Amino acid sequence: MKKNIVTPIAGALLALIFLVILFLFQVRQTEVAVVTTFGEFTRSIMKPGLNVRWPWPVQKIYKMDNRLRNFERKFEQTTTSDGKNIMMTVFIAWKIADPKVYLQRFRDDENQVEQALESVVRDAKNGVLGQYSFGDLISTNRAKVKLPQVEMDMLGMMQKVASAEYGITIELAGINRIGLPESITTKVFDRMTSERQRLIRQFESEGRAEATRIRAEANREKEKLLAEAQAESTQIRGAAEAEAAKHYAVFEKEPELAKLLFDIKALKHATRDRTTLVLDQQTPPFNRLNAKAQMAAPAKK
Amino acid sequence: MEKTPSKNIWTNFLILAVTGAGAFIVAARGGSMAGLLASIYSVVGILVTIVSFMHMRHYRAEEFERLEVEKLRERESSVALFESEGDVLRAKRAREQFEKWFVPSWTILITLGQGIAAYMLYAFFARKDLVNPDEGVALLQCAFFAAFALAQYLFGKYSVGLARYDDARILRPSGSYLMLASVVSVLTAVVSSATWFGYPDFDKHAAHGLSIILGLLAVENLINLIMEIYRPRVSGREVHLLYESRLVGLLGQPGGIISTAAQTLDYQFGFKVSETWFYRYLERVLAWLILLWVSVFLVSSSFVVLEPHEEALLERWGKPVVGREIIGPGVHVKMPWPIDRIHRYPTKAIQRFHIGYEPDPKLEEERVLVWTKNHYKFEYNMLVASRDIKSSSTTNGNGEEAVPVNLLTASIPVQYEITNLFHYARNHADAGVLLERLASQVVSRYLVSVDIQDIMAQGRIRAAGELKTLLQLEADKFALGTRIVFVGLQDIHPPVKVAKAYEDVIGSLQQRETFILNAEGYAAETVPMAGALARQMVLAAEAEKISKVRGASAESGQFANQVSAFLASPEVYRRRTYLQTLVEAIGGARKYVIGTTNAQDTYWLNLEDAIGDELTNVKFFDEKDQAPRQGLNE
Repeated sequence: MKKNIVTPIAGALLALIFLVILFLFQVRQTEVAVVTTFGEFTRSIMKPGLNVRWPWPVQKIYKMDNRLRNFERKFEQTTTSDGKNIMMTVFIAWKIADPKVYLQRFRDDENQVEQALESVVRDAKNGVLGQYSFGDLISTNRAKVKLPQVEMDMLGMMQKVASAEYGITIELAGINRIGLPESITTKVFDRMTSERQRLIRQFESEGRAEATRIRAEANREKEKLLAEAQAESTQIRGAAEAEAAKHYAVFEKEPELAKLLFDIKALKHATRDRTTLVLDQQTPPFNRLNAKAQMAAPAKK
Repeated sequence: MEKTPSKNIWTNFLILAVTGAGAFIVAARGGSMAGLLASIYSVVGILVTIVSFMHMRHYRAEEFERLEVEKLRERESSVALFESEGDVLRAKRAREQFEKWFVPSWTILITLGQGIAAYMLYAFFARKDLVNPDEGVALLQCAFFAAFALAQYLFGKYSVGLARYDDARILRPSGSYLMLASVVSVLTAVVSSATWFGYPDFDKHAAHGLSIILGLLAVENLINLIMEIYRPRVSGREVHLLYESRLVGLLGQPGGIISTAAQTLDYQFGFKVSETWFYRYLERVLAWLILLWVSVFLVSSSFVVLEPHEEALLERWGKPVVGREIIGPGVHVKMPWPIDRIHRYPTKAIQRFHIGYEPDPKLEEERVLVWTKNHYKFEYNMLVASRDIKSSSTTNGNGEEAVPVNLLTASIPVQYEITNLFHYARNHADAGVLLERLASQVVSRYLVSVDIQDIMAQGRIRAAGELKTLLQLEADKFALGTRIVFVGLQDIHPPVKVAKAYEDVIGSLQQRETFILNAEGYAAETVPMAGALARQMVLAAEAEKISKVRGASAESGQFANQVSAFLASPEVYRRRTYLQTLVEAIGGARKYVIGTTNAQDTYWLNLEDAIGDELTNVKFFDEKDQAPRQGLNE
């Protein structure tokens, strides 16, 4: 008897769990569900809670995430109204509005939703951007930038298709990356480099010009100082000549002696350095080397 | 009793077919690899059951033929009805032909199938890109496989028990396969429950192991085939069924080893020691094991422990539990699964993402970051407006303006925390990703309306504050339930390709200062030196003046004294003074004294190139004929 109690309890418990799994299902607060009976739509469940079902394969339950989902498009090139090329990434946030339509259209396959929305996003993006100029997208004047208006226009275009055909609602469309095509990017780099080169040349020229000015002023000051000194020196030398001349008056007393003294003084100075003299035998005192002259000299006397 | 084995083998066939097909459907729906292996084991069991059934038909025909022959012999015992026994025992011969040719061929086919399947499955399960089983249907899958296991076990056990009788031993191969299939189904049920608990890898490991066992079965069959060739044929001895696997019997009935040992004891001691003690033991404890398992599961799912950085949404039948919608860190009691469920989120933890770059772990170890070298795996070029581009040079001949933009790279780390779990978890499937995209949108929108020089210099700190405010507004607008903790412009600089030109500008500013400083250095040196030189010139003139005046004064004084001496003896004074001066002046000079007797001749000495040479080397020219004459020594 004891053996027979436990076994039925265990069996009943397993059976209960099995039955719960087969006949009941939960819908979370983040979900909506669609119930189909032999493939036919039966009902949508929009509120969370416990629900009853017939087991598979009679009824099938499709649970779908009812929260806002988001996805991002590729970084794609497009053209503005003034013919400028620009690259953009657009992202959108969407949620299920009509579970039945959504299930019919996409069988709850998020990849299929994104493939369908991708075309819609591209169409809206290219269509809307064709209405705006490049200056509407980029400007140092923030009031002129119309990106929010572009996003609103894109959302409006996408929303029409999505709500009418897909059973979803798009609540947000945003541009989260803006760039330029590779070829234009290279040119922008070149231009930016040229701008910098211009500044480099400007700064270096400013430096050279200032340096030249400073050097010229220094040279001018130098020449001025030297010229003034030269003038002063000349003046001093003149004064020295005048003052010395006062002393030379004494030489007038005996001019012949003065000339002799000046001559021998000059001779001293003239023969100070390497000097080679070529003298004949008539030059005193070398005339003493001449025997005839030496002999004759006393005779003359 | 005669037809029971035949019915039983049909039942086994049906059970294997139904559970195998069911296992395939459920496993395919739930993505369970182990479940797919379970269906393959059922297929092998079906093939074995088919050959068993055919074998049994031969045995039955042979038995019927044997009984007919015995009856005829009893009636006509003295008359030889047939010339030879071979003419009458056709069923026996057919059975022997069947065992000789068909059974080995069939077994070879099964072995090949098992081997190829084992190899392909092993290679398949070794792949890294296998998709994990679906957690959503794991529990349903567990229930299905538990049911399959129960059916397979009951019918398999019955067949194996019946096979102990001689006339039903043909049931043993299919019975063993049913038992093995039940073990595989139990294993699949266990790994399915592990999948539901968040351990999907168990399924792959189980499938891997089952594919290895399939290969071992093929190897065993091969060995059996080889052994059969060398087996001695003894008439009347019961032959081993070639398609019966001992390994299957062992795996399907692990208790068989003990049972065999028990039967040995039975024989030795002469009484029934065990009979089916393992079965009875299992029968007695199985219910308790199930109750224990269910109890442990219910109790363990009634408690939840949340870490300090976590909060969780508590749901009862999918709805928020009134008053306990969000539970915080600590231990919490809840209704057991599946009534109450929790969903954890790291609400207190700082979460982060990056805008404008993709981090590279290798480059993050760099100690020096410069503009001319990439800091990250990818750095995106961002468009920035430009004030400088408005010059006329940006318009070409067709009136088309250049693109009024600059490009820069910015690495902007964003940190946030979850402040409203309801909004974060209930409104958005992936709020973190949406916040990241909104942040990229805010940054792009901000940069296209600022000047590159502003954002890189004085506008940098202001920009970080404004970006944080704008991002918080966007997060609130879409009810993300997050608070932006930090937005930083940690790197903002020109792209790597033009960074050098920007650096060169800074270098040129330094060069400008260098030029100016060098010139100032020149001026600082030149002007004072000129002043000094000027002063030197003046002082030299003054010194000269002093020298000249004093000298004149001294000379005049000396002259006054010399006059008196001169006047006393003019000639003597003149000659003395002359000779004294001559000695002082030319004492050290080189002197040539030319001795001549003909004073009328004039000699012309070319001393331009010969100064310093011996006078004997000097050439003399006669003024009249210009012919060179002999030197003085000649």
